[in-house]
Amino acid sequence: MKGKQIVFVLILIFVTVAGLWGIPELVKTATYTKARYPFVYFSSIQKKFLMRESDGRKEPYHDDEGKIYSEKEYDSSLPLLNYRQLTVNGEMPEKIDSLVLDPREIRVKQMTFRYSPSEKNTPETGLYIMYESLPKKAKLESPGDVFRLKESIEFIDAESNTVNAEKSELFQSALLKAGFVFPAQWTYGNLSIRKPYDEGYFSLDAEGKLFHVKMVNGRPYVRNTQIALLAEPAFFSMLEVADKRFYGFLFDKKGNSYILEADDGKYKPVQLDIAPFDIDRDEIMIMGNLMYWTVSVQSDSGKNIYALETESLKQLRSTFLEAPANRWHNFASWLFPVYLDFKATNTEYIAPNLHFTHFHALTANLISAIIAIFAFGNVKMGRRIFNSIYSLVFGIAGLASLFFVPFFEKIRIKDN
Amino acid sequence: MYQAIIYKEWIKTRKALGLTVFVFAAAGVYSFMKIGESVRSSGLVSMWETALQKDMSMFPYFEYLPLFAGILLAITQYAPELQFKRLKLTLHLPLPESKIQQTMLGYGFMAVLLLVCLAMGSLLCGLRLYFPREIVSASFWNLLPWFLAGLASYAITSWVCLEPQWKQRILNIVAGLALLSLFFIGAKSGAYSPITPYLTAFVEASFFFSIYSITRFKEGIQ
Amino acid sequence: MIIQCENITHYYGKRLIYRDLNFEVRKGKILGLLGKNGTGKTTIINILNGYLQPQSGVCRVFGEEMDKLSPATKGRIGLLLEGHIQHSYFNVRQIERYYSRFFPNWKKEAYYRLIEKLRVTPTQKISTMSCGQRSQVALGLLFAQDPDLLILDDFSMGLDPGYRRLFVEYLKEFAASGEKTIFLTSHIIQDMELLIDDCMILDYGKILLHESTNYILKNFRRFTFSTTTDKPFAENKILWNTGKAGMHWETYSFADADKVKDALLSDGREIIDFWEEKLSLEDAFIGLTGKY
Repeated sequence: MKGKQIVFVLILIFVTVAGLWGIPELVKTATYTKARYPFVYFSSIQKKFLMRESDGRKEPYHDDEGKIYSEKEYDSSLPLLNYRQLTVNGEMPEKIDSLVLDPREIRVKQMTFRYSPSEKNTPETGLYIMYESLPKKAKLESPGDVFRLKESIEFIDAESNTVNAEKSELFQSALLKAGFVFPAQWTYGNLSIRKPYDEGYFSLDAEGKLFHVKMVNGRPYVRNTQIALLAEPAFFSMLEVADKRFYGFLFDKKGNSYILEADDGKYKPVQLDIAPFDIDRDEIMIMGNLMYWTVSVQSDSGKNIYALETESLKQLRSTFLEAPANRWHNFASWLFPVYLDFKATNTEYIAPNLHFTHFHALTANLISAIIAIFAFGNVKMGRRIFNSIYSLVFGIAGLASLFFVPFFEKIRIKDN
Repeated sequence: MYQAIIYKEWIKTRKALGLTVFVFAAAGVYSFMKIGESVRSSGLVSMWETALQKDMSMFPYFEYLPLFAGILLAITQYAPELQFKRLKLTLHLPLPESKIQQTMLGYGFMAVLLLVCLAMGSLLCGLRLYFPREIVSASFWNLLPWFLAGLASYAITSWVCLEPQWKQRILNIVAGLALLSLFFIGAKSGAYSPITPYLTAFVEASFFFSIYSITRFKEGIQ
Repeated sequence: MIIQCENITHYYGKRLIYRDLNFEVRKGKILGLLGKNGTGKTTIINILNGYLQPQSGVCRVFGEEMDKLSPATKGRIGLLLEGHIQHSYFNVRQIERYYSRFFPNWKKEAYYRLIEKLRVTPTQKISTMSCGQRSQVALGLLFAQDPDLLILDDFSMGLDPGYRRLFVEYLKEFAASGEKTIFLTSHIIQDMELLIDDCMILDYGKILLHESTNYILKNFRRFTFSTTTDKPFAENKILWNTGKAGMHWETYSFADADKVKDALLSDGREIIDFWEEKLSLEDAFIGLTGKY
């Protein structure tokens, strides 16, 4: 049959690809353990990071200097986190550092924020829902239409599935009047109806200017934020904080983080005093209270933890937790110099990713190459060399795929 | 002469094709009945919101249908050829063997492609009546890997069916399942867009896999 | 020369099927490849049609190597698979329509002449037919194709005597012109003497004999005798399968009675009640291959 060698190689390659992915995937399933970091919170009393380990050790509470705490000491060191419990027990301090604690204020200043790169690296439908920012009733109501904002802004009426020309025109002219240059680069907001209030959307126009778009009393409200960051804005994450201090978090293309403060109709970015991070790979988590924010930035190598002063977002203290050892990584670094996977935690997209582990895994390839010389019975020297080199290059997956795809002439051993 | 081969493939597969078309049509009708039900019970607006916020599939029943259609078609086409080694009769026809093979595979490929395109086209056109183009396009991306899987499953099953040796056939099944599982990584609609070119290339390449099996058949491996 | 096979050696795993098999089939001949089950008759057919690569050796059909037969040559070869296998999902009419597209000299009437004799409807699926009926369909298709070379693999398998005889008669008629060559295998020898010109008898690993049927029928005899001792006979070039059969001893030979007797007497024993008989092809086959 014509081209049979090509077909053989074609199948071999695809089976090898399946092996480069499938075999490590099986090993991963058998060995993977999730990285377990301690829970870290900045103590407003000790001015140190307090950690609670969850690996079952006897004395799980300690601070970043290694001092061990009892559970009671730990709880009372974090009064702004445990204020409910401490209040019930009558152990809540009246003030910290001369600051008088007001329970209501503690509550509204309490804030949690998480960002994972998969929020940014995700397919977008390109449709958004605009709620009324000043609803007549106490809760948000569904508007009955959705909008797209790319080449222009268009509202599509759900009932008729047609463009609402009037409303679209209203918003389009408001955007143009505010100086918005189409097409929009991105638009971020919070589509959910389950939120305390609505602040609409932030959209980056073609020239890199950030605009705030919302609907007030059925009318468009469009403002050029006129903010200047260290680099072009890359991502905005809306957060409806209880005290309405800011709209949400902004990250620029260089990995700097900001909050976008609402300042009497003006917009003011306040930079978080932390090192830039990779917004396409690293996760960030922020737990804030009346006095301090605890910010953790988790990368593959470990967790950077910062304590910021709530008002100024200036750094008070920082620490680094190294990533705990993972059995899977250990196995991989001995078995697979390279492996393939398709789904990464930092993105919703499915794409082939080739990972390089460690050069000492080449031992596995070398062993595969030696096995390949002898494992295929009485075959010609040329074939032995091919098998061996193939296994050397592709390692265990290469060797396995040679078993899976036997060469045509294997049955025809010439005996003369 | 090639029409005659296509005629033979048609006679073999017409019942399976009829069944597939029926099941696809039934699943399609049922999907729209479900959409209609949601629209009537909670209103279009809420449907739209759910579609935007939850990224739920409009056509969950179609996840494995193309896969099974591909498998069914390949089996009805090639199991009779391998049963009693009828393939010998087919390859004995006065035509180049590679052309005979291409015609048979081409028939199956076109049948699955036509089925998949028709299904995709009518589902998306139907959806367009209720939903804006963005949601239709999200549904397209949602369906695409499943429908590509139908083509791949046809090619892989042909490769498995035409393989003359049982031991090798099982190895082919294992490798084939691994490759097919790439089409079913649970993900948001559109998440497949970076990998789609690779999957398409794989689908195309996989159609050559059965040449390997037929060559082994010709060498008399059993 | 229609078929030429040179030095075919083949093993299944470690089991030797043949070593250095050589034979030829000339134009106009009907050659029967006879052998017991498992002697590799089907294997030869597979090699001839390019469906099996032997470990070494080459076969040529119409001068082309077996695994590279051109479409035109394939069109000149009619192939009947073991068990009269056909595309049984077709019905009687569909299968004729299907094959007619491939062969320019398609003789539709030849097919329907055979089909008319069967009690089947034109829309009856082949898979619902009896073995005999299916064999007629397969044969009808071959006659309609009108090939120069017919290769029939164990055509008598599963046929009752009537169908077998019918098959033989049709084949004889087909070959009557002398332009057609037929290569067939069979493990049922009955009726075969009516049909085949040449016999090739296959034993495990080798060809036992390749001779014209006439020569075998004319010259090959069974000799029955009694002897004084039960001592087995030594191997002898002219004697085949000498052994005790009930009360008597038997031997087979192409040689005449005197030479056989001389050979039997060579180890000094006494031979009594010595007589010879002519044989049918089936008896001759048993004489050549032995009963086991």
